[in-house]
Amino acid sequence: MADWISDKGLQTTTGPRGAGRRWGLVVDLDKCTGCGGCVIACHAENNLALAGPIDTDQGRSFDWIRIERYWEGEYPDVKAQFIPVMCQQCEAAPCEPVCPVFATYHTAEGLNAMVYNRCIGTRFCENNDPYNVRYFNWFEPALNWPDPLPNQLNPAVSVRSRGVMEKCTFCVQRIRDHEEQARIEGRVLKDGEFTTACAQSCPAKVLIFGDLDDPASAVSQLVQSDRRFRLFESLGTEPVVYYLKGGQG
Amino acid sequence: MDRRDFLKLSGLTASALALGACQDYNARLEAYAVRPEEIVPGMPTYFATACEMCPAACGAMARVLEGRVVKLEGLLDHPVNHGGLCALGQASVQLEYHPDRFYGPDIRTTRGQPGTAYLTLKRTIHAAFAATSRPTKLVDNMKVGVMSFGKPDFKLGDREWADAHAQTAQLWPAAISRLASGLASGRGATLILVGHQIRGHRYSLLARLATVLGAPAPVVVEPFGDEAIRVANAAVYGRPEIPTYDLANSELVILFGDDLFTSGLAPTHYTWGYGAMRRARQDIRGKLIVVGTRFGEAAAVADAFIAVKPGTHGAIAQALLPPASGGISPAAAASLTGSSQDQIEELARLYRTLKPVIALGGTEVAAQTNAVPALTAIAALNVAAGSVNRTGGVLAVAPPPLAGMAPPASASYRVLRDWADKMAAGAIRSLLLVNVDPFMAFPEAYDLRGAMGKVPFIASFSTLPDDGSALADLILPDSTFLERWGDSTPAVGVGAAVGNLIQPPVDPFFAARPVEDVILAAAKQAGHDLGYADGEAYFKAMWAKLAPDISAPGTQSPWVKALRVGGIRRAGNGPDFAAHLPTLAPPEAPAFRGDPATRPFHLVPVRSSRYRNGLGTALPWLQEWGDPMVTGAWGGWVELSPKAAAKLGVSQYDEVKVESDRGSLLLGVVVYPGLPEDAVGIPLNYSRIHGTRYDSAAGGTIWEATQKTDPGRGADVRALIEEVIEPRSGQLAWGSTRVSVTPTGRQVPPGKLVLVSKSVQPQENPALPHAIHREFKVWPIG
Repeated sequence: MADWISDKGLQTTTGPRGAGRRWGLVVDLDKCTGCGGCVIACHAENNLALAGPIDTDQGRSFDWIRIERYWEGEYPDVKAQFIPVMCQQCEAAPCEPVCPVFATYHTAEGLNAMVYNRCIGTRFCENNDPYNVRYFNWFEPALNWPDPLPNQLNPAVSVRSRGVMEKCTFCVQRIRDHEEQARIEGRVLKDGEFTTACAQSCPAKVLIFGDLDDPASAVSQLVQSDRRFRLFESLGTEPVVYYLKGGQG
Repeated sequence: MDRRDFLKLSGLTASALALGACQDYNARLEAYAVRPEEIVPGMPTYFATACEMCPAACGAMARVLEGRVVKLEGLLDHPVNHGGLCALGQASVQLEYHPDRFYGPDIRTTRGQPGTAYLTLKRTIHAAFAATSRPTKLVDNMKVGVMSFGKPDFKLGDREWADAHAQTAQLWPAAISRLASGLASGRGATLILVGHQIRGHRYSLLARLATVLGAPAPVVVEPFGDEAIRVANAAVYGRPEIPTYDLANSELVILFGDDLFTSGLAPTHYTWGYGAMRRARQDIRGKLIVVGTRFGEAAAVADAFIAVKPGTHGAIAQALLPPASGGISPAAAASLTGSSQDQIEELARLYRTLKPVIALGGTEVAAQTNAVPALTAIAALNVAAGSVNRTGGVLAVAPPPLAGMAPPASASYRVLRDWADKMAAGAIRSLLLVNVDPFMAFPEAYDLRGAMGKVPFIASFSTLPDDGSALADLILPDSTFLERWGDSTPAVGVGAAVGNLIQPPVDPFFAARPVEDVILAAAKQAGHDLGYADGEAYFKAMWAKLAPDISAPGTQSPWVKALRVGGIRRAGNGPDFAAHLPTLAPPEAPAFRGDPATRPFHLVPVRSSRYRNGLGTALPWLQEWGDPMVTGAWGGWVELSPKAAAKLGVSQYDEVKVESDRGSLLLGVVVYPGLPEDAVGIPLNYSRIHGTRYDSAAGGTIWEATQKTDPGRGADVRALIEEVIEPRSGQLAWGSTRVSVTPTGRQVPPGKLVLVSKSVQPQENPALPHAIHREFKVWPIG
C-alpha cells in the first residue's frame, strides 16, 4: 500500500522529513500521578466536544489523551499504575493506508494528520488503530455547547462536525504558529520554545515534547534512557511517543 | 402598466433588494469599528493572573482572543505550580461561560423563585443569544460573536443586547438598595459566610464591612476543613499552621491518608514536588510510602502501600517513634491496624535510614474521631527525624508581602454548626453568602435548610445556582476571577513570599458585578462609607502600599511589573517553627456510628480530584472526565471490594441501596480492588439539589438543542454521613459512618453509572488494555 501511494506521487506512510524535524513525545511514567490536568488542557485547547452522560456511557466521549489505569493483585497487596495514552503518531501508522479518501496521512514532520473536510466517516482508520485513540463524532458537537459556552472555543482549532473522525494532532496549531513566528523572525525553532497543551499543563513535567531529529533536544536525550519503551512495539507501527518506565534506573 | 414602467419598477425592485442585501452584509462585516486597544483579531493576548478555583492560589496566564478567554495556563515560574495547572484550573473557563450563570441581580419575592424582572432579563439575553449570529455548524469557521456584556462594540444582535443592558441598568441599583436595607435591618445580627475565593484583600474588605455592621468576622466555610491538622500542628510545631512540605528535596515521604495529589491543600504544587522528588536529581530517586485504608491515586504511584483499618493510621506513626515519646512496637501496631508486621518494620528501617524524610497526614486521617492524636503522632515523626525547618522537610510558609493578604483560616464544623444553631434560634437576621454553598460542608443529618429558613434576609453572591442561593431573597452574582480585580497568597510554597495580583483579562460576562463593587455601594447607602468608589480603586489603593508609585507612567513602574508577572514575590521562608517532640498517649481507637451487625461496612467518603470542595461539580468537563482510579464520570457510585461484591452477588453496574442510620442512596456498583472487604467508598460532593444543569441531583434536560434527557447525578453521599464531631478540633468526622449495602436486583439506568474505561476497553478488542499493561509493566517496589 505504501508503494502504491508513493507511485501516485503522494506521501508514503513512512514519509519524507523534508521539514528537517520529527516531532516526538516522551512520557515519564515515574512522575505521572494520573491527575488529569493534561486531559482537560487538551479539551480546552482542541475544542473537544462534550458527550454527556448517556453518550459517554455508550463509549462516545472524546479524550484525545486519556489516563489508563491498570490494576493488579488483591487487597492489600494491590497495585495500580497510570499511563497516559494519546495518538502515537506512528511512522508506519496502520490507520493511514486504509482511508479511502486520504483524510488521514503522514506529514513531512512525522505527524499523523487528519483532514477533517475530506473525512467521509468510514471509520476504517478507527478499526485499524491498535491504540484506540481515534474518536468519531456520532452527533453534531455544536449542539452540545449551549449558549454561551461556545465562547470558550479556541479559534485556532476547527470544530469537527458529525460523521468525522478526530484525534490528537500534537497540537499542530501551536507548531504552525511558532514555525510561522520563527520564519518571520528569520530564525530556527528553538527546543522548548513551545509545547503541546497536555505537556504545558502537566504539573509533574511528565510529558516532554520536541524534535527527535535534533540530537540536542530534551526528547532526544530522554529517549536514550534505558527505561524507554513504546506501546505495541512488536506491531512495527514505529510510534514516536516514547514511554519511560517507573522504578529505579 | 406599459413596458417602460414595468422595466422601471423591476429595476427599482432589484436595486432595492441588492442595496438592502449589501447593507446587511456590510453591517455584519464591520466588526471592531471601535476596537479595544489590546485586541488584534486572530492574535492572542496573555494576562498574568492567579487561579481561584481552590485555595492553592496557583499562578495562571489567561489567553484572550478577541475579548474571550479561551484558555488558562499555569504561570511558568510561579513558586506554587511551576507552569502546570490542574484539571480544575483548566476547567475554570467553563465557569466564565457557564450556560447557567446568573444573568444578573435577582430580587426575589418568594424564596427559590426567580423574580419577574430577572426572568424578563433572562428572556432578553436568550433572545440576544439567538440573534447573535452563530452558525449551527461550527465547522468551517468560528463565528462566535463577542457577547461580552461590558463591550459597547458588539455588532450582532445589537438591539437585543441593548435591551438587556437597559434592563440590567435598572436591576442593579434596585438590588443594591435591597442589600443596603437588608444590612440595615440585620444590624448587630448579621453573619457573613465566605468561600475560599474570598481571600486576600477581598476578605479584608468584608471584614471591614462586618466591623462597621457590628457583626463577627466573616466565617470561612471549607467543606473539608483543616482544623484538626492545625490543632495537631500547634501541639508539635508550636503554631496552628499548615506548613509546606518540601517534597522535591526529600528522600522519603510517608503519606498517611491518600489525597496529596488530588484534593489536598495544593495538589498542583505537590504533584510538581513529587515529579521533582522522583526524577529531578541525578542519583536520588525519592521514595513514597502510603499508609491508608482506600488504595487511591497516591497509593498507585507509591513504592509501597500499607493497608490499615479505618482510623488506625496513627498507630503506624507511633510504631516509628521512640518509646520515650509514646512509641509502640511494630507488633502492637500490626495488631491494631491489621497491617503486616514485616511491612511496618521495613517502613521503620526506611524512616531511620533515609533523610530528609517527610510524614504528613491527609483527610482520611482527619475524617476520624481520633484525628488530632493521630495527626499529632504523624507530625511528631518529622520532629523525631529532624525534618522540621530543614530543606527537604517541613518548612513554614513565608508570610504574605502585605499583612492584609494573609489567607484566613477556615472555620471548624463545630463553629459552623453553632452559627447554624443561632440561625435556627432566630438570632441571625441577615445572612450574606459570599461565594459559598454552605450545604457542601454540612451532612444532611443537620437541618441546615430549616435553620436558614429562619433567617429573615439572605443575600447570595454566588456566580452559579447552588443550594445556598436557592434559599436567598437576593442574588447578587459575583464576577469570576477572570473578570475582576483581586489578590491572594498561596497556602504553600518554598523559598518565596508570594502575593498574587488578579487582574481582569476580560470584561464581565452577563451582568455580574464584583462583590467589592456591590458591598462598597450598599454599605454607602446603609450609611457606612468604606472609602473607595469600587473594587478596582480599592485594590489599587491596597497595592499602592507595595508599589507606592502605582500611578506612575511608563512600563517599568512596580504596578505594571506586578501586572506583568502576576503579582509580587520576595525570597525567603516563614519564621522557623519552635518544634518539640510530644509524649503521646497510646493510640486512640476511632469511634463509628452504626451497629456493625446491621451496618457491616465502613463508609469511606472519597474526596474527588474532579470536584474538590464542590465548585467543580458544575463544570461539564470535570463531570465528563473519568475519575483517575474508577474512571467514573457524571455523578456518583459505590465502590465495593471484589470479595464484598461476590458475597452480595452483585457486579459492575448493578444497583444497590446503601443505607446508614441517617439515610439511604441508590447507587451503581463499581467493583474496586483497592478497598478492604468491610469498607465501601463513595465520592463526596458530586451533586446539588438546586444546582446547574450539570450537577443537578434530579437531572432533566442538559442540552435544549438535542432534548437528550439526563438521569441526573443523584443525591449526594452527604445524605448518609452521620454528624459526628472530632472532640478536640471540632471538625466533622465524616469517615465515622457505618452503612449497609442491599442489592435491588436491578441494573442502574443508562447514564447513572458512567465508566469511561468502558470506551477504552471496546467490545471488539477487550484484550487491548491487558496487552498494553504487559508491555509497560514494571513495579517500582524495592
